[in-house]
Amino acid sequence: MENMHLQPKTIILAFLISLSFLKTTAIKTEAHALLRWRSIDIDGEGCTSSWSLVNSTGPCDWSGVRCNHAGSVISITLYDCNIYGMLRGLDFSALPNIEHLNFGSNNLYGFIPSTISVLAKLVTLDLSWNYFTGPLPLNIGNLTELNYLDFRGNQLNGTIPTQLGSCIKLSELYLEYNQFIGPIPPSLSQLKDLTKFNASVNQFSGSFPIFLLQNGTRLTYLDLSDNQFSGPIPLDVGNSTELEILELSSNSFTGQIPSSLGFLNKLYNLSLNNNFLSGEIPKQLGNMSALEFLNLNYNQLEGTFPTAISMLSSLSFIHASNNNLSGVIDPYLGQNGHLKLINLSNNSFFGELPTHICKGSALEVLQLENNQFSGPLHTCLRNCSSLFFLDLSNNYLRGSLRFFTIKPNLKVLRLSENNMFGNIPAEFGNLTALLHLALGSNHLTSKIPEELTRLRSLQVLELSNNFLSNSIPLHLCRMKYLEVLDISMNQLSGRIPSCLWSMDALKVLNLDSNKLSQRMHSIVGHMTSIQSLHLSNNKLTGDIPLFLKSGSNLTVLDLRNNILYGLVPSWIGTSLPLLRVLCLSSNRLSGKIPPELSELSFLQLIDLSHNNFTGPIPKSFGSFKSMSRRQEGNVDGWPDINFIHNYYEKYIIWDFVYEVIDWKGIEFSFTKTLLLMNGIDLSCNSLSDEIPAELMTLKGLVFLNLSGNNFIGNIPENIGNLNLLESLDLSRNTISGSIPISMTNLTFLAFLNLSYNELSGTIPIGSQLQILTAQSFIGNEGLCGTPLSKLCPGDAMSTESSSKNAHTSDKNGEERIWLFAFVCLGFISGFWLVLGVLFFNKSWNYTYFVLVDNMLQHMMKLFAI
Amino acid sequence: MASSSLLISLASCLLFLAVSPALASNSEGEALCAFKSRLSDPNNVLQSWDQSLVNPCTWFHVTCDSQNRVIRLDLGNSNITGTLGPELGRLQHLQYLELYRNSFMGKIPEELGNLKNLVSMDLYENQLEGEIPKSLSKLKSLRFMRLNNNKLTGSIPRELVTLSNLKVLDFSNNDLCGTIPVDGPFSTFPPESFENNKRLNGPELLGLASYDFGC
Repeated sequence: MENMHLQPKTIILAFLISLSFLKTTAIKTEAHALLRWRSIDIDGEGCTSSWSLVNSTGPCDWSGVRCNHAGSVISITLYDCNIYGMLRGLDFSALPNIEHLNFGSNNLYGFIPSTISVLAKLVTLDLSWNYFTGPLPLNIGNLTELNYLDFRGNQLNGTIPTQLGSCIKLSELYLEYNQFIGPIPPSLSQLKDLTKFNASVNQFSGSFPIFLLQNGTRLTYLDLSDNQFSGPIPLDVGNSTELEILELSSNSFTGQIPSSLGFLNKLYNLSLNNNFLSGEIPKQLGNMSALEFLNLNYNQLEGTFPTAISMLSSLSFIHASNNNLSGVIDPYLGQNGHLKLINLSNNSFFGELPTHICKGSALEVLQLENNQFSGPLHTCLRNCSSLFFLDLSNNYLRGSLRFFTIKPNLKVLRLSENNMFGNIPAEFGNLTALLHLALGSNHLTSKIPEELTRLRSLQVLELSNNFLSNSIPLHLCRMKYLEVLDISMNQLSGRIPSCLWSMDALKVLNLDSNKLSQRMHSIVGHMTSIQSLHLSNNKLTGDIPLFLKSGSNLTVLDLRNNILYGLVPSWIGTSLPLLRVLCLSSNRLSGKIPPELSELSFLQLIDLSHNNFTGPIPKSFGSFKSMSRRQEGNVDGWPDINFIHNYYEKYIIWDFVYEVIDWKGIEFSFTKTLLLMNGIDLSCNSLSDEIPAELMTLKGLVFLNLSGNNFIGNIPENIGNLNLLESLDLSRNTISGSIPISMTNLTFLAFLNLSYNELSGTIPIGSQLQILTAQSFIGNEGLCGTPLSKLCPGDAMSTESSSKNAHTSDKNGEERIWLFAFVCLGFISGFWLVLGVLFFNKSWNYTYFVLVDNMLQHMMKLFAI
Repeated sequence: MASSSLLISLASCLLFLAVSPALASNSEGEALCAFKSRLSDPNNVLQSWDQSLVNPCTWFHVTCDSQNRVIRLDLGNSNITGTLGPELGRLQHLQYLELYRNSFMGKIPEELGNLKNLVSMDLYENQLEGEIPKSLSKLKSLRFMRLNNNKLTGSIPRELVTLSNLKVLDFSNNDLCGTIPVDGPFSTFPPESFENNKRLNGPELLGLASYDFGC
């Protein structure tokens, strides 16, 4: 009885024991699944070092692992824990209770296994910032409990599976920074709880996925930027009134900005930049009361910037640069007191600068460059105490710099290309935070104030193209961070302070077009860092100075148009190994061209024209390494300045580094395309001997000018090798022989001058030579053929077709009779036969008419004769 | 590096479509950039076409006169694929249009008739289709007109007989139809200029048949 009494208890006990056994089995299964995964898939164990069964009952106390109260794993978080490996070997079926899986910021790679779909309870899946590849598993739609899905920052590709629309509880979906393609599947419209969706930086295409924003959408954050979406932004976008962030930048959206965006009164970030949007900016955008950040840069927008937007109370950032916008800026722009950044550069705005932009002193960045603003600038900038970046260059602003009230925080001040006049006030020396000062291309007069040298942080000083006179202040050398000193095109005189050569940071020294006079060979010094040196168009005399030999970083050396004489030292070829541009033209240099120059393996441009060089072109010139191939436009190796590189790419060197080239007969100032240039100009010297055939191995040459010398012999037969040549001038020499046939290979040749030589024979007929004018060939007595009017012997027949006819018919008097007989016979005998057919066969009737027509014409001619 | 700089230059070229005031006067550079945007350029021939430069005069394959006006476009034999666009008609001062031996497709834009200074139109050896626009008869300075080896159809516009400066003309190897004009400069062109147009029937009949006979 007692025994029997105990039985239920025993059963319960046994049941409990077996349950706990089952439980431990399950826990052991989970633990083993994780350990097995780590052992077969994971290289560095990272933060999983505590994962072990030796001193532990189960996985619940392992780092990153959480269990439910039954002791089963519900969460694994290995975020940023330095593990390397794959997911392939993880047995998801052994982890049935997992709700949260976070493997973000590790080094996991391989495919995302489709077995992950067995995790029926999964709520959070974060695989972000790993190296996963391949497509998303199709059965991802089985994860119907998913709320948070994060695949950002992998190398996933393929299209988004339609099945993802089955994860109907998804509220956040992050796909950015992958290589997904195709359209966003319309099935995602089933994700009614979706609040945040980021698909940016992929290769998605197709039209705007408007279905995401329809039927009571709860989406607050939509980022589709950096994809290939195209077509218009639909009007319906205005229905999704929960939107707070809408980023559509860097796609190919076209059409107008929908005015319905004005209904989005929670939207605070609207980015539509870098698309092809056109039309006017809708004034309804002024209804977006929460708007703080607006980016419309790089579109094709026109019309004015709407006043209503200027009045928005929260607006802090306005980007509308690089559009076709015009009109006057609303004077109350900035009235809200919150504006931090205004960038309206590269438009056609005109009128005076808005007067309230600095109300509340919040404004930090003001970029209005490349517009047509006029008037003074003294009132509007008065309160700009937080301003650190001011670019008003290339406008019609007028006035004296005396009225420029000093902004102590200013780091960048660009007022170049305006109508500023007067002197540079000494107070500018108080802008001690300045990194970049550009006042070039104004009408500034007087001297460079000594006080400027107090700007000890300055990296760029650009005062070119003004009327600054007097001498270069000695104390400029105190600016020890100065990378660019451009005081070209002024009226500076006197000597070059010798301390300039050894300034530690100086990369670009541009003193072009001043009145500097100095005996160059008297300069002593050590040139350490200078990469681009422009001393052209001054009155410098003497030999090429030895101190240049220390310029081992020189990339550009321009000494054009001075009064330099003597020989070109051979050490230029050996001591300046980085030289890419060497311009010594328009001096009085003489002697032979040193063959060592060909050792300059980066040299792209050599201009020795307008000097008194004698002797032959060194044969070694055929071995200029850099000129033997097409330039690829690599910027590496050209002087660059690190100055706010990321913010403002255009300041990289080309404002300060340029080179005048005699290009197709006209002088042009080259900037960026210098990267792609290969050219030799030895014109107007007294060079002699034959043009070395070795030059024809320089297949990268874009121009070659050897005019105005005493060259003899033939044009090298293989000149057709230089198939990138656009400009070739061999005029005013004594070159003889015929024009090589290979010259017809030069399909890019736009300028050819062979005039005033002793060339003879026929001008070859080819793609580019025939259409040139006679100017290219005149002054060569023996030369004949098109485009010269002088015909070549034996050419007469082909050129005058009428005379040819006359000639032929004169010759064959007999033929007339035979032909006449044939015509008559043919006409009579064939008349009925042919006429009959004519009515039925359209293609025959033409042939017949032609025949008759020809006969009639021929007969008439015969009779006439 | 090269491809990234190409991307930059292409992007900046696209940006050029948004006219900025500094460049507003540079409508020719703008037109060339619009043209570039139609083209596929595997040999990177257009790499130097960069809108950020003040004018197109230092671009490769573009030639300016001393007033910075574009007078030549030399892109023959460049492995370019794409279409010709109406924007080419904005190169008001163009004298030489050398686009031969490429893979240009589509029609010859009638806007090319606006190039009133054009001396040479070399579009031969491409895949151009459609008719020869009548508007080309406005090119009164034209001396060279080579459209051979394309897929041009339709008849030869009679209006071309008014191009009195035309010295060289080649319409051979197309699919033109109708008859060949005999007036004006056409009296001097040899038969080879018209050969291999299966439906082109021969010299025009003096009043006996219409010029689009057989089209």
